[in-house]
Amino acid sequence: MNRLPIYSLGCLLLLSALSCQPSSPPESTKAQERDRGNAPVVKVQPTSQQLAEVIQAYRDHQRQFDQRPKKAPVTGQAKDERGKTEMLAPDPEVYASRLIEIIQDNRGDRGNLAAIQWILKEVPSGPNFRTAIELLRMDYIETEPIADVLPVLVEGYPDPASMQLMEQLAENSLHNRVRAVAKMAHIKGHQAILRFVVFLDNPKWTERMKSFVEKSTLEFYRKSATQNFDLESKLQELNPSSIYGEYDFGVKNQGRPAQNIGQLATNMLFSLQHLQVGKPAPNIQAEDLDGLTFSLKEYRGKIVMLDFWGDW
Amino acid sequence: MYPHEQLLVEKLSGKPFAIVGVNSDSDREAIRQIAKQKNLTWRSFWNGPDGKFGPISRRWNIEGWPTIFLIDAEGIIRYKQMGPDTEPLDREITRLMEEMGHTVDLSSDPSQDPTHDSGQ
Repeated sequence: MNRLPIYSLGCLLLLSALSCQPSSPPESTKAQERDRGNAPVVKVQPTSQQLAEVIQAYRDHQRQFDQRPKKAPVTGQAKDERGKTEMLAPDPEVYASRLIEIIQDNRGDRGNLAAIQWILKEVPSGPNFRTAIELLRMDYIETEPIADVLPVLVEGYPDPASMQLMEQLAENSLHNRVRAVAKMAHIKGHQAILRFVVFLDNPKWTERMKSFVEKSTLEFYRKSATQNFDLESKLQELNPSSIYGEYDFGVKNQGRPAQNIGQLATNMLFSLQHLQVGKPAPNIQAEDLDGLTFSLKEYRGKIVMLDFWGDW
Repeated sequence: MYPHEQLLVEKLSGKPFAIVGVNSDSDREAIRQIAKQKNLTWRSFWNGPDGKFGPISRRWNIEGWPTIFLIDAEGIIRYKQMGPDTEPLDREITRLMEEMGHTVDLSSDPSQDPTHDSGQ
């Protein structure tokens, strides 16, 4: 299980596309160094470098896997050759365990955070995930850079432990940025839970969804969905002119612009107040695929199926 | 989704119904060619070079694709759906068309299986 359930195929593709891309350019010099041979190198490296090398090794493995020779036709000699060229995809859990070992030996090092973030993103459940969350809680809860780690926790469906951590940080952190990001992450996590529970109520999906999450997690989701969560006032707290609104949620990478928390909250609030069943649809005026401008209100008098789509 | 959308266009032709897309591909020229090749006849707004993070999907707070809204003849949002499940969508379209005095039959179609999804 690599990802918790995603409510649509499109979203699943979106998430996997985002998570599969390297977040920094490959460091070719390091790769070359490693390629020179397997002789053990006895030297003390900074923790962050050791961790970065493990992550780079995973990416190299993944790249080799992506570029592996395609299966030859199953005939004659090609059949015998086939077994030699097949390789397995890298298991992120193996790399996560190696990262955890290094982190455990260097507790509290600032360089650990990027690796913790990698683990939370690549293995969003299981023992390594839980250890990473626990390390965050024990060693970084009072730090400011913990804010950078939180957005990955709500890219899929959030784990109960991460929801608790976000709630705690939103209330108690001494840093405005951490409180701002934690508040937004907690809101997004809550919305993801609500979407998930809607799917659980659809018998067609229930069995499939259940296989993704443990029973205790399911109970947590059901409980969160029924609790009184005042989304509107929580979003209002994050408005652009508040002390929270100026910060970014996530960082700019993978072609994905960082999102300003104030703007994000404004959009979510707008959706909550206007993009609901029974409300007038806001007009859209923009160019079509040929560059000609048209507007949604031209369709008044017809039933309109407004379809947000993409060919990916 | 494409086969289902094409089916709706076909079955509801001549009726007061329209599909309006908001396309979230960042390369407009590429998607224009694809739309031509795959015979996607409905008109689409283009969400701009930021693709999924463009201004229209941000304004509409879209968090998953596809997301579909049904808007009635008075411009009121009547239904909202995330994901490619065509069954509830067809049911709502049928209901809204009936409200306008048009009986339509969108049932018993093989493309109702969401795993049948080809394009998205």
